Amino acid sequence: MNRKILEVEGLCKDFGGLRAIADLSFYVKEGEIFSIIGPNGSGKTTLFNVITGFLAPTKGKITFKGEDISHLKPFTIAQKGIARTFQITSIFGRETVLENIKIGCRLRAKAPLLGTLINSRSFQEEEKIAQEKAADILNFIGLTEKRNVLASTLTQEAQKRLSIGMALATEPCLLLLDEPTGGVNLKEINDLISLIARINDQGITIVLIEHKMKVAMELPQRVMVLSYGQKIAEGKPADVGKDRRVIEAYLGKSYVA
Amino acid sequence: MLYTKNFNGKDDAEMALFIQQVLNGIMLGSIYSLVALGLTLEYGILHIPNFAHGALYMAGAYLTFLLATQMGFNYWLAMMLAMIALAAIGVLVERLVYRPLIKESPLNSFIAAIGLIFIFVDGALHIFGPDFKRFPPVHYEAFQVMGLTITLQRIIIITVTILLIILLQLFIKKTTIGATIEATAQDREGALLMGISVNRVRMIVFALGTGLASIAAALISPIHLVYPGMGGPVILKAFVIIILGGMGSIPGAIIGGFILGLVESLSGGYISTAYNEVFSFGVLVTVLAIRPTGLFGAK
Amino acid sequence: MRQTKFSNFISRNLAYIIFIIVVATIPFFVSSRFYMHILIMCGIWGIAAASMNLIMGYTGQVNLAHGAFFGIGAYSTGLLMLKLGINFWLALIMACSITVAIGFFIGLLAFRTKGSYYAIGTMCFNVIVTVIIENWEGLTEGVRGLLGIPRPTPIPFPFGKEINFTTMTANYYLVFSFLILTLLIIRRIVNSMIGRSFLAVRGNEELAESLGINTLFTKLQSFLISVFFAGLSGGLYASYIGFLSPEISDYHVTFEILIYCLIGGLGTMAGPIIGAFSLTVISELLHGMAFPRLVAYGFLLIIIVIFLRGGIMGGVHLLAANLFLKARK
Repeated sequence: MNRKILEVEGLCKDFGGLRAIADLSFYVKEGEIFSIIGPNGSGKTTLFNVITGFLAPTKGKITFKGEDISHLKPFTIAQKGIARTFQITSIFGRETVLENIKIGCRLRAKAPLLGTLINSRSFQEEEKIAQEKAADILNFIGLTEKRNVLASTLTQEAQKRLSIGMALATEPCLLLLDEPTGGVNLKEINDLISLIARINDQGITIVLIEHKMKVAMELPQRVMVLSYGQKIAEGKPADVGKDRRVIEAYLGKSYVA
Repeated sequence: MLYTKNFNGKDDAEMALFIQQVLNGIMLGSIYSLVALGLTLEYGILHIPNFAHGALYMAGAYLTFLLATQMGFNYWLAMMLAMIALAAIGVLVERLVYRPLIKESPLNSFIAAIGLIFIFVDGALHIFGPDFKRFPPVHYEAFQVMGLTITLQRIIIITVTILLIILLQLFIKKTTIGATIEATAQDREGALLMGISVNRVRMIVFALGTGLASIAAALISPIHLVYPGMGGPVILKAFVIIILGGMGSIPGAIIGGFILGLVESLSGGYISTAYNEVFSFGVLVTVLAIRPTGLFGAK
Repeated sequence: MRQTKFSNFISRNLAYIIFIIVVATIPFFVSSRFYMHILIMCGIWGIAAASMNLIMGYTGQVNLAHGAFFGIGAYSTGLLMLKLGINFWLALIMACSITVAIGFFIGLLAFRTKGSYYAIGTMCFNVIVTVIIENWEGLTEGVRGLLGIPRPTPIPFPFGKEINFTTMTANYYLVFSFLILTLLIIRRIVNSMIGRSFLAVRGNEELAESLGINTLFTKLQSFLISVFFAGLSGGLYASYIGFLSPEISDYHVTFEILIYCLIGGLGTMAGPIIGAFSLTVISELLHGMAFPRLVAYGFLLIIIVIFLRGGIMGGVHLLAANLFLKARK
């Protein structure tokens, strides 16, 4: 349980002249909840994009369960067991909630063309498995009642839960959540926090990008603070909260006691 | 090679042929540049290509032809009047067809453009018939220069094009309206916030783009004749050009236009005219395969 | 238990069952050559439209090379039958394979691009194919066209009988058998995990990738299946009409098929069929008159795209949804 599931070493990401991530190194322990915080533009989402293969690193190495994933394509990384959500809630608006989850199930289904065409036994089996899995996930994220509703008509908070559900359908070991409580009100935040905690209870490691201090500090075992693409603090939430550099980064020099 | 110290007859003729092809290429390139310019300007504002550009080009040719033959207008007057009329039609097309579809997926604008093409091209077919229309004899005087024969019309095409390109550059860089066009092309919302009327800019750009296409059509018609399908090959080539040169890039459209004109002329002269379209598209496909956003392309 | 499964089957497939029954019985009511010809053409274009719907409607890729593949399928079938004397059935299979093979290379190249570039790129391929067919006279007879392509080879039957395809009725059943087969196959694919990948690529490619879907592979898969059926419809056309010219691979053909899909409704199973059937009927009926068909199509397209985006089926769904809402109140 103390194994490093994800390790980032010396990561740099440049966009032309702009260095978005500068020599970043950290690791995530298997089974923990790890959150990344930092002011806007500190490179948090860029970090997620690099880890999940949407962007190529300029320098450095990313290791997942001992394997180098630095230059793999996003769908391969998903196959390896890393799932993510997006800062701008991404779901398939034209499909129903149930269909959205079933699309998430696609990864772990074999879906052979020939088998599909001749309605083979294994094809029917897979459809049944997907149906059951989807029902379980819907239940887990609390959207069973809305399963036949068009995804685009859901509330922001329900859409967030749906996108988490879709990520779960890919059976990940590591789940990256990019601002899962963005645009969500106070009451709904508690529901989401408990959902994330329940996901962690299932043994899934979680890395969280968060802006809301309540979520970013209460949930995780460890926190990392980024500023201008660099790590300025790392450790237990309580310690990080008192760190001078963190206060300075967020509130400016004048607030450092 | 094509140059030898002693100017014996065979090499002279080869040299002459080569220069002839080059001139032809520059002439073709002029037309392509004008059409591609209009297209790229419109893309800069619309953010999707105006697929109906070729149909409007054809309409410009027919209108010029109509004015010059039925109404007996002088060639230049006919060209000017047709350009104004087409500019107005371009504005209407933008207002009635493209503007309602701004917020939708580009596929819808594309489909609407196909609809426009059908209306214009089939309409021309039914009104004028499928035959090739000849312009009344004008500017057919030929000049003999260094053993080459150049018709006046070709010189006119090249000169007018260069003039228009210079005027366009001045317009965009030196006038306020030009500045608003550039601003809107770069950042629509920013332009809105600055109080620029984006709708007016769209109108002006379409009038400009369609007008350029109309002039190009009027220029080439005395040589290549007028027929309902004339927009097709030209518009496909214009797309090749703006993809190679980068959608929205003015220098890209100009340079690309001349390059394509030369490639087509030289390959047509030395390889085969039948396959020259394949050649152009082959170049396009190859470039796209290597650089999916074109040579000068931004995104 | 068996009863419920059976009645379930009926209710889910009702539309198809009715369609099959209607299709099967029409020849008993229609005998005129003219109308049978229209119906057969409806069937052929129906297959072409349904296949375009797969890549465009369900996978969201604006593929404009469809006419080229129709033409490749047609010419392959015609040439194999005429110049190599191969029988129709084998020629058809080979033609579809050739079409898919060519489609593979075109697809690989085309999918390096996205959006508008992809649309234009595929359109260019369409033009290239037409030009090649026009100019490779040694192979295709160029603009002179291929004449005298035989009707499908008779199928031997026990007791010395055979099914031959000299009658309109026989060709009608042939074409519609293929149409129904095509629809069933496409429907099966669309409702499967493979179909879900298509929908995902249509909805949001980035999201699809993050869910482990190999979008390039998915797009290619959809493209190749679509191209297979395009080639099939071309092959049927070649043998039935008996005469081919380069125009049948032209981009006009692509756009006609596109119109069928749009008017009927992209992204639905019935849409392309409704579009293909209604427009084929209308255009064949108006053939004699000096009617600017494309001008009318043009206006129709613009109006549909601005006001009735889902085509006829889209309108039907809206209507159904509205009625449903009203009923609930």
